[in-house]
Amino acid sequence: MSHIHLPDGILPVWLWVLGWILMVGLLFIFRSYFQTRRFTSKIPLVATFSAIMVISMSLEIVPILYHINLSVVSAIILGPGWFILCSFVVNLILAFFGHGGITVVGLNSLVITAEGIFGYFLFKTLWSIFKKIFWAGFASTFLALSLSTLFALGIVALGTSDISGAFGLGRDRHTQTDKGFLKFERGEPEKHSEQPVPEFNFKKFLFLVLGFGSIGWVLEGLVTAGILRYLHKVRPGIFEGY
Amino acid sequence: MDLAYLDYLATSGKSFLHRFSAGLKIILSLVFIGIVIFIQRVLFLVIILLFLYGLIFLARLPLKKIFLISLYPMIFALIFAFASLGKGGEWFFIILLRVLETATTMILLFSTTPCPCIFASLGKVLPDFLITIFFMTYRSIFILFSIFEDIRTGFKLRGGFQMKHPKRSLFNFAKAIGYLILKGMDDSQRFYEGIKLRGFQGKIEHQRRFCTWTRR
Repeated sequence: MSHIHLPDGILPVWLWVLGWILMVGLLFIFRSYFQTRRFTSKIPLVATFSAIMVISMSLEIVPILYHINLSVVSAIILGPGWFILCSFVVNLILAFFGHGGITVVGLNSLVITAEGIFGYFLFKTLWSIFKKIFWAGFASTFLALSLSTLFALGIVALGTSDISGAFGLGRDRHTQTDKGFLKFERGEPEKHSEQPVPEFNFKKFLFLVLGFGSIGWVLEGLVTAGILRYLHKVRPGIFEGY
Repeated sequence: MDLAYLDYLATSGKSFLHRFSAGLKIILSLVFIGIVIFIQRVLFLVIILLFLYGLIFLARLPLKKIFLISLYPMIFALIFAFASLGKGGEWFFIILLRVLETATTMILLFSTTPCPCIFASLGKVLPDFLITIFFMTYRSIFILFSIFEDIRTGFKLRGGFQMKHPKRSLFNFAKAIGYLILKGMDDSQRFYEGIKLRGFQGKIEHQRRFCTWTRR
């Protein structure tokens, strides 16, 4: 719910290239870990959780286009290392079907990975302290989603801080058209060419995302807590054994 | 789910686009997306969109359905475009058109190329374990989705989503997803035991001949 559904063509090239580099770097760091365990039952399990996450993202909780991620549940069962791979596979498959952009797969995977790993450690800590699986699940999911949304907003803020320069829009094109055919200078420079170009309204964006997002954090927190409680009841030891 | 529908379009179609090499289509799609994200003129973007719709028409794909699927990423794009209104109306349309075109390109690729062919082509550049996970995920999506259809029926029989009882509805939904997770985990274990028995060596062999012109 919190991951940036940023499609292609919105963020500057340097940012999404950096996202890909960081994600590939992260996978490269864990490569030997994955390679040595590629014969184990972890591979089908990662595939299963990737499929569950893809399916869950196509389900609406209420008819206002909210969907759950199940990133925290997946990270708790898979463990942080395998969850990195899972989040990359999920985002790549979603991008294949037009749900999020292909260029921002790296950034989206980083956001979901951060969400899952933070949720995993928070859940383990809160559960050991309070011994209440439901509230530990709710609090860890809510906080993990808040953190990942802030992370996603930070990415957007980075990408839009110099939006006119990054896309060549606004001031640059103004100057170009004002110079006339074959770039001969006009006699009188137009007054409005000196006016500052209106920036991307980050406050409005923040208000919209946090406004819609906060409802989603509560919903996903409750659903995740319900899932964790159900799994713990039906199969005790599920959070330690896998 | 749109995924199953796109997969059906990819495997049942017989147009010239369906018969193109999967690797070539992937490269062309990426190049196309690369061009689209750098274009800054609404007119050019509209021309490219019409070109894409022309390809969809020539490939005998359902334009209306593909258009509806491609609208999904527009939700977030609209929030972004709305926040960017200060840049002017042109910027607003540039954002929306870029998003629509990149999504349409990807959907066009996946509605004309079966997923196993795409994964097989990606296998040339990506590590084996990643391709294995892609194949298994693709398989699991369809199995789990058919399980979920049954769960959904059970969920509806227990009242489904009721705005009068939001707490009960949410917890019933959570139990349904929890049950799906358990079924998925059991299925993955059985699947692993099966492939291990057949000599699984951490890599799923794929038959590229199913993806070539002559076979189709």
